[in-house]
Amino acid sequence: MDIVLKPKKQPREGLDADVINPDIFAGRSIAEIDALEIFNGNRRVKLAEFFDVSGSTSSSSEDIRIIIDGDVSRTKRIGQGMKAGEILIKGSIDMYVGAEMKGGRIIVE
Amino acid sequence: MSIIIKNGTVYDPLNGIEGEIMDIMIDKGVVVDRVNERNATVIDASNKLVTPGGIEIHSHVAGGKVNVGRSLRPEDHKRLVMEKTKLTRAGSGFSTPTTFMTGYIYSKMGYTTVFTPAMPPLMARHTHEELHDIPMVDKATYTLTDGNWLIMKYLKEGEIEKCAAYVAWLLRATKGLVIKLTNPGGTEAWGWGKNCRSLDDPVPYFEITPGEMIKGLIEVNELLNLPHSIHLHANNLGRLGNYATTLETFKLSDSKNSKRDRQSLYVTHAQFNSYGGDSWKNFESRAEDVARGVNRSKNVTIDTGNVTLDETTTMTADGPLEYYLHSVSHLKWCNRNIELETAPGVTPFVYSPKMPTASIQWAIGLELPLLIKDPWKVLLSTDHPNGGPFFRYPRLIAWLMSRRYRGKTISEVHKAVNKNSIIPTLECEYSFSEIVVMTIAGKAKALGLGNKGHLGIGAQGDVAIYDINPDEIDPSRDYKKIERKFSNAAYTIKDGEILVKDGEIVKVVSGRTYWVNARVDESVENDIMEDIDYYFKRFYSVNLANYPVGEEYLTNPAEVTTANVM
Repeated sequence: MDIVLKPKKQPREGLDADVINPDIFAGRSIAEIDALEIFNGNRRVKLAEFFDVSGSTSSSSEDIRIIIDGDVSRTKRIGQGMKAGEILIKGSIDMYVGAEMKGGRIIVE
Repeated sequence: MSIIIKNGTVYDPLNGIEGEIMDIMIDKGVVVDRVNERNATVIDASNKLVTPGGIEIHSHVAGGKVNVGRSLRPEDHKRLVMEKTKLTRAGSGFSTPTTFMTGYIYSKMGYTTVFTPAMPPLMARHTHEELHDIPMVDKATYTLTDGNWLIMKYLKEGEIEKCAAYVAWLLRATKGLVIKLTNPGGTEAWGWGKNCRSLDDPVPYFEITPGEMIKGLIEVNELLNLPHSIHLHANNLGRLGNYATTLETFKLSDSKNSKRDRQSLYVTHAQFNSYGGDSWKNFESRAEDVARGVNRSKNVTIDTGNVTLDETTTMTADGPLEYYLHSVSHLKWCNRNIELETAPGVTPFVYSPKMPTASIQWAIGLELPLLIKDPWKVLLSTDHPNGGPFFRYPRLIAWLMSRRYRGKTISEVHKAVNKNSIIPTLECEYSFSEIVVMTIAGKAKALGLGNKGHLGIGAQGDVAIYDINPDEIDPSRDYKKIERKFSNAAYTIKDGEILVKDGEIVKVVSGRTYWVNARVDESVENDIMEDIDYYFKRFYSVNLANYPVGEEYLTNPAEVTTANVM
């Protein structure tokens, strides 16, 4: 099941978005994913403030593919610690992508 | 207050004591031969290892670029956070720890002296303000001279006495302890986007070579009779095939003996200068050549600069090197030019065990001490944070004491170490005695510090006690225990006061800040003041009156004279 995140404009103070992770998306609705918290510098904000989320979710992380459709050159920690599922990033990415991954796949185009 | 440390297994190599069970007595902050038992605090050190307090000879913990490193790396601060306690302040940072935290961690490891090795003269005020905020340990800082316009001018003109007078003035103005050179000549060339990678590359405009600068400053150092020798981050550091530059650098000291009982050339973090190969694909260790060079040189002492296989932050005054690292890793980078003086840079670095280069660098850092015959000539450092955080020292010690631990790590790093280094073949295991030389006694000797690094009568009352029984433990097998126990001292005692007990801080103090007051003939001092005045009016963006740092910036300033050993 594909969940598409279309990034809005990347802020100057970077984003820490370790919630962009199939294990965390699993079992959550799109509305709940919109409401997940990320950091913009030292501000806590909702994921929806910086990403347009669409697609279909699943209860199992193995079935989830997260597609990030655009430039995320100021977003850190995507896929950090993930255990299953896939992330496809169609753009530039910042530090710690897939840091401490235990399983699954990340493809950066 | 007086202390008796009873029945410890004492290692005091400077006084020929190697694992003797004896008492150490401290009164009024100094080691004595007897105290009144009725008024003394008695520490039962039976079955425990007793050493002089640890001495850090080269760790970037205070100053402009250190703070740039902290600001550059918010993610490094998320990695390690220290919470506030009743006695201690909060702190953060894994490879760029904040100042208070730095002092606390060193003290918990049994260290009582920490010197930071790279202070641009213009940033001296900042450096001392940061040192002010490092508690628990005695401190000092080394004054950078590698791109200094007046030094290059005087050396080019052959005016050694004037150069010595200026250097003495500079050390007094910056309250530094040591003459430091980082990529001599190269840091000035970097102002033009250039570098001086060989000892014969002339500096643009000044037309002096690194070799001439090093030889000139060795002479100046000995003329001034400074406690330490010059302290050199050699040219061509971090680059393929640089071992050849290192060997040539050692040769510069051959004919220059010091009056003092120490080297005349100290080459720091030599691991980074022991590289072979001509592409990163055939990168190999040349530790054997460098070790042979150290074994052969009468007047050279080195420290290792071990890579600890961590994600860390590099920060040096070697601007061109830092740019090179950034261009290889594509990680964020900061560069600074210090007018008329030097050129620091900062960039993160990941020494991943999966990388062939990092694995070989790790191997080189251990090959050097394992191949150098005299432990007094090869001291231990990580060049914190460049090779790794300073709190990895217990791990380095465990690697040196245990072939098994090395073997385990060899199986976990990239297999390139088997082909491009000789670490798997090295069987030598360091003894406690040799470890104490490499971490404490040898450092005091190299630094010319007469009252530190030993436990003889009159020594400063700085002692570390570890919960290790040298008569029972087999470090070769119990390397995990060695690593654990050296990380948390059973006691850290400074100036006869117990600061740490069972790895916890029980008392917070401010240490001293050492600086050297070197002097030359008054007539020469007056001569050079005209030149200094002119350079400030013509080139510097600050006024001469605002440049020197007064003693009021130092915590517990401790002036060192050059008449005798401290």
